[in-house]
Amino acid sequence: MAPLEPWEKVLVLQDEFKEDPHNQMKCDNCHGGVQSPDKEEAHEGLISDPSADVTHICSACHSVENHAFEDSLHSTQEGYWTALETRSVPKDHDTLETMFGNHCSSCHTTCGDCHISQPNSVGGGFIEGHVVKKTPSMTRNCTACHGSRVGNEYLGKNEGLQGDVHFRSGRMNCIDCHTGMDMHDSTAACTECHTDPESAALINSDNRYSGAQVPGCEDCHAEVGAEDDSNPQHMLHKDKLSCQVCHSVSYTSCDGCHVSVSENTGNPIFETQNTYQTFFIGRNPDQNYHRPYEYVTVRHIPVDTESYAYYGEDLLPNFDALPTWAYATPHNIQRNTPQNESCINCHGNPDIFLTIDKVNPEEVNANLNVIVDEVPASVGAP
Amino acid sequence: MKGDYEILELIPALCRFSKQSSAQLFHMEVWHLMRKKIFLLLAFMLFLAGCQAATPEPIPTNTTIPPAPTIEPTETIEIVAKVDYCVDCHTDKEQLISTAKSEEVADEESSGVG
Repeated sequence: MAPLEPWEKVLVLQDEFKEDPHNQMKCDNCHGGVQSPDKEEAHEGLISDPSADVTHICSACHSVENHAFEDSLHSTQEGYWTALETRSVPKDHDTLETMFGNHCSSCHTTCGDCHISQPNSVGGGFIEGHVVKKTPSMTRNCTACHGSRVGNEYLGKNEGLQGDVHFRSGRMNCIDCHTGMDMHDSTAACTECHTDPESAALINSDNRYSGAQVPGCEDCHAEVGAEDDSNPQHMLHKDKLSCQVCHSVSYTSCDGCHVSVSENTGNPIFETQNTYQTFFIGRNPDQNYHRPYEYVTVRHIPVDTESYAYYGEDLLPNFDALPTWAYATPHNIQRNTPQNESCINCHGNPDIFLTIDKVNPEEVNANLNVIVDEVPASVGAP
Repeated sequence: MKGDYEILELIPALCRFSKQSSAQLFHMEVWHLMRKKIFLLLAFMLFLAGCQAATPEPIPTNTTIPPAPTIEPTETIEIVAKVDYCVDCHTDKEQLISTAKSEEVADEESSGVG
């Protein structure tokens, strides 16, 4: 995605925006500022992203979406906090909040980041001359943030690896699976079943893998694992393996992300030590009703014990409370993969399982519930 | 009215003539006087009521009808559109280019995949 020129970021396409219902409001209704021919004066008190405030003007008309969005993962980034709080102790939370504000919060998403502009993390700028787009752009909104892993996998940008079959063959966009309702409300699907107070209390959005699989592969592929499924492998493995175990290929893992503040510019910066392609099957660290699988695909996430050392010593004393090889849902699904060509490509093949020899010795304790001790026994080919 | 009160001075003589007490005669005379005053009062009130009923409706003092406005057939109403400086500038590509501040390209100090 080529960066936009400064003028290009703020050019309003009058003809296109004229057709937009939001054109009925005057600019300063949302953006403040002053009516003046002088640029400096006109921009006094300007609010560049009116939707950055949770009580913002969007809610005047879109109250339902806004109310739910305030608690969504895109807004709260609760997934970060779940991991940070689990690995740390309360006395360090203030320090970690400072770190979070400098680094992690740049991924916080507003209405405008999806519906009007590119996210600030990639330089900002209007998607289409300030037209409010009901459907975000896949490449200029979704993968602008979710690019280095999901975007590259889905679009086939990793060398030697095909893009996801849903993109290659179906030209499916992100929102074909990840609906607007799911993006605005992280627990929308939960409330369909958790209706009584007792079960409703179980609903949470601690991270992206809390609760039901939304979207789930079976939402479209309802025949998989059903009584009339003609594929015997589905019947044999349906509750033992996540779909990705058989249908994804190598995906991105990262090591050693360290954050700090630049001595030269004062800007928050990061350094990631390694990025590489892996395909490993690990044990499911959180088997539950919605994800009963025994085996899942896992990717190495870039956290290590010294990731936040710039902000203080030993800020992650409970580092081993969560695995560094984390439950993953790679976005490079293929119908045919190396591991599903033959039974023996998995059974009795330690190369594709996360065995202890593949784990950094300093991280073994953190991954005890993920490491595969005994590779499933070989079976007769094929 | 003075004559009415003068009759009170005749009470002693009348007492003697009618062989009635002065107190009885006094009450008789007072009653006589009051009946006369009540009659006069009622008559006066009837007069006032008659006067009120006969009062004609007041005539409006301002009876001048304003002249109908005349419109000059050649006169045109000019509507001056309010200028929206935000739209004026942000829809003008050339103006945005000429007024844009070049963004400082910060050295990419971060390294690795974000």
